[in-house]
Amino acid sequence: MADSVTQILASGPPGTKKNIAVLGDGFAAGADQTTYNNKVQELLIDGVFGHDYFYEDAQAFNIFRVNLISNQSPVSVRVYDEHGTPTDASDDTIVSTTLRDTALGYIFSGSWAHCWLEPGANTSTRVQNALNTWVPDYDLVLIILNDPRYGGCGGGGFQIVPLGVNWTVMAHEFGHGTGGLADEYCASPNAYTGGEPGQVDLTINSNRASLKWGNFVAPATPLPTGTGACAGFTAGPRPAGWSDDQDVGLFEGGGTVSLGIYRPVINCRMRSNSPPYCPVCYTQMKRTMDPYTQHTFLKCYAGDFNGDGKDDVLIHNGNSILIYRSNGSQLDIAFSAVERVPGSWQFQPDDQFYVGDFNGDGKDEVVVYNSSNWAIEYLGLLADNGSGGLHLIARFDDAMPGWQFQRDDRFHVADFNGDGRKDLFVFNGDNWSIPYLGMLRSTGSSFTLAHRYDANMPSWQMRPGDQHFVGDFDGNGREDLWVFNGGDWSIAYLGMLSSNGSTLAMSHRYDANMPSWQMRPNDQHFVGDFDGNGKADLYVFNGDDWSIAYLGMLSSDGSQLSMRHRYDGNVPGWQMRKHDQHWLADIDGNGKADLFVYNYQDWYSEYLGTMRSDGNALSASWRVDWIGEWNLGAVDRFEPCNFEGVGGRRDLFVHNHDWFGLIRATPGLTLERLYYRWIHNYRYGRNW
Amino acid sequence: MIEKPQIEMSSEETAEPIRDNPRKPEMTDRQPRPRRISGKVHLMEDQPAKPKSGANRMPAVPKKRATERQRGERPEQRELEQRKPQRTERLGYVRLRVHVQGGEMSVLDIASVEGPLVAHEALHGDYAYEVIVSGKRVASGSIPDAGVMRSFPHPKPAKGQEGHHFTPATSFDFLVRIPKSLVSESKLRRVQIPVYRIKEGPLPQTEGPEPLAERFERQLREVGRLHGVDIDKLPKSSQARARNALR
Repeated sequence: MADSVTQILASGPPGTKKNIAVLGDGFAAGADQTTYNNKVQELLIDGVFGHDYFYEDAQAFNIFRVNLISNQSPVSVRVYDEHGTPTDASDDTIVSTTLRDTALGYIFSGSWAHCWLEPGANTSTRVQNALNTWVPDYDLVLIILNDPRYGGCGGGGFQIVPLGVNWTVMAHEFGHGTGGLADEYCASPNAYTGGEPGQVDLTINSNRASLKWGNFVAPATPLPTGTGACAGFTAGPRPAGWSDDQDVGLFEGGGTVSLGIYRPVINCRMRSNSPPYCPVCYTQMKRTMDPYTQHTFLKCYAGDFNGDGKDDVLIHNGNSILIYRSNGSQLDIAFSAVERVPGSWQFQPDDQFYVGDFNGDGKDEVVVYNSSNWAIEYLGLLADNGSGGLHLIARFDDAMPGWQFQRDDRFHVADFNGDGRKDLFVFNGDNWSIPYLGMLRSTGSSFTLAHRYDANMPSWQMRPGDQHFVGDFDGNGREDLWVFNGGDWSIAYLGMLSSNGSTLAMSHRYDANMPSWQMRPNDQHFVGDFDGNGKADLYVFNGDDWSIAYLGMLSSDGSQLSMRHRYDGNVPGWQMRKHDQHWLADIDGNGKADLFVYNYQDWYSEYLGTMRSDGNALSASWRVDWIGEWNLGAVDRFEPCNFEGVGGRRDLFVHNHDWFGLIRATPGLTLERLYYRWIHNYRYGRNW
Repeated sequence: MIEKPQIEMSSEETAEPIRDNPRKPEMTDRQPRPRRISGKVHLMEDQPAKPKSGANRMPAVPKKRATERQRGERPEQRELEQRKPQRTERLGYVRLRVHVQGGEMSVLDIASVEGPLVAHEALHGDYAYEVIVSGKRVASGSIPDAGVMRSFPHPKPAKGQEGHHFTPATSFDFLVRIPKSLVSESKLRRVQIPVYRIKEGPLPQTEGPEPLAERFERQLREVGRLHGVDIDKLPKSSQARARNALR
């Protein structure tokens, strides 16, 4: 068995990430290597990177596990006679040393005053050789020694530990190595006598106005909050609901001494390993690692991934996804995956996500498609893994029986057979000599082709510019297909094709005109049941092809459309313009499809509005420029959703590169929550 | 007539429609005249015929389309075959391992690493460095946790054993990373790498050529400086690798 390396966390190129190299010493070939691998998994993947801060920022790190084969096992050991003074190494004498031929030559002693271990004569060179040979770059080095006892020695980016340590110790130590955080415990009864410490989590300043973590201290929290040796809450009774690790104040003791210096919380990870980082340390870690996570809020998808009726959000960044769960008014981390999920879907920047309940379990699943980052096309189905995350339950590589995936396949989520499981329509008008449309039926755990149309559907000649929409216009519980083509023919066409569960039939085709609507190439369509009769209707907007903008409400009688209302120029309360953008919604939760409307181009400032349907007509209202603290802008993107869980689709996720907001539309447009750069709910204060 | 741009939306029900495209007509109930595409009128057939066979078609749908039941881990997804980048296109950086002993700094080795680099980071902890080439900062970073050996806290400490046991390190190494496009062997001879104690931190990530010492004059104190790197003065075992890295 030869030395080797395995990258067990692959987030990106080494120069854009913090790289952790893991080396082992005293592990021979065979079972020892399994012991070593298991310890790496336990300490790092399941431990440090399986919890709180490191879990959500795993994408900032690469981990390289180097398997070094030692000729002998376990690691060398040394016994000291400490002469009754275990805190003073200077009078210690060596009782015995058992040297073994190990890869790095470390010697474990179990003596605290000797850093528990020490290097052998050539250890430094061997470590450097191993790093140079096996890892492209490194920032932190973890060396695991084959000795069952507790201990560990850190500093200078190195952590050297035996098998007896647990992950919480490592998470504390990484706080030093990656965040530059100070210890917050009080080992000595002494008082601090120096100046203001440079670390973010210690101070000698008790002035609220200039306190460096003052933005996290609630006005009602007394300062100092705790005085006396290594104090807890001493300034009066501890408030109800006070959190020792998340409520910030000013507590005496820290930096290993008990007096004369303050820490932010009673008990952070930098004091006693097990609690999560306090808001001050967490924010420092997040800020420090922000250039390495490379996270943005650009690609966000709403879905109820745990079936509690509230929409959550899936955020995709490069080769990672994060899922944040809604509790009705805020989001909390629920799932983080870097590079792949179990079952094996490997995330890539061009992954396309389609959210829907594909297995009818009341929770949303995710179909993910990638046609450009790999040598072939892939389609995967990701479902609940039983613990709040996702795993892959089906994957098609390049093709499925009856459908050959191609670069420009376009998917639409619809339950076309009415079995309560969302299915897929897939269309490709670009990559073949004729267009194709496939109906991919969900079995709950996979997909199978129900029908394929080559070149033509009933009474419809498919063309590359066909645009598709889904909605059950005949109210039979099966979602139907709407298709529009305004550019490939001499006149525009709109087809309504009803689904019988496995095939489509043309219910009605409109050539050039719909009732009271002249179709034009730039018509925009939004299929939704605006009169609440169980049959999907059609909103159609055109801001480009006429002198004024038009919005039509065409209701379905089950087989064809009639104009319920046409707005020429204005919807009451909203002056329509060329660049109006619309999203379907159900803002008042009455089962009648409404619209969100946004325009950032045609006015002096940005307008976000709602158009509510009473079944026959619309009434609009809007906010200009700001929604609470959200400054509307050209870069904003909107995802209609129901994060409140009150029914309908009356909310919006609003997001751009750096900001993420939760907007409620009822009773009026208001901002419920705002996040900058990362999603975290501070008990008081915020990170900007 | 050119319409005067309106700057604020009106909520009045009787507000005049905005004419964004005054040269275009208003919608009517008339049947539109078909437009010609390449001189011809193209209309969709009511009952389109089956397509004739031809090239670049999807394979026929198999008669039997059993649902595939999938279990377990799938094989690795197939990597794209990357075009080998030209030398001028190649991203990369060099990594210098700098040794500090008794206040003296020296370079122990220089390695080349492929790929892009985050060349500047937030500065935190006790020390930071920057790399200055021709008066311009080209890289900067933190040196966290340097100069100390820290024994992990004892799980059942005797009196006096609480917390870490700190031992000053007699020497330590830190890593300096510089985009490859900005250094060469000759430039390296003139490079300046000052090391600062962070007096007040943390300091935010900053880009741009202004040296840290000018930008954060109050917060940083210079404690050492490496004046140029001469590959001939590297340990013999590192020289060939260093030259290779700078090629």
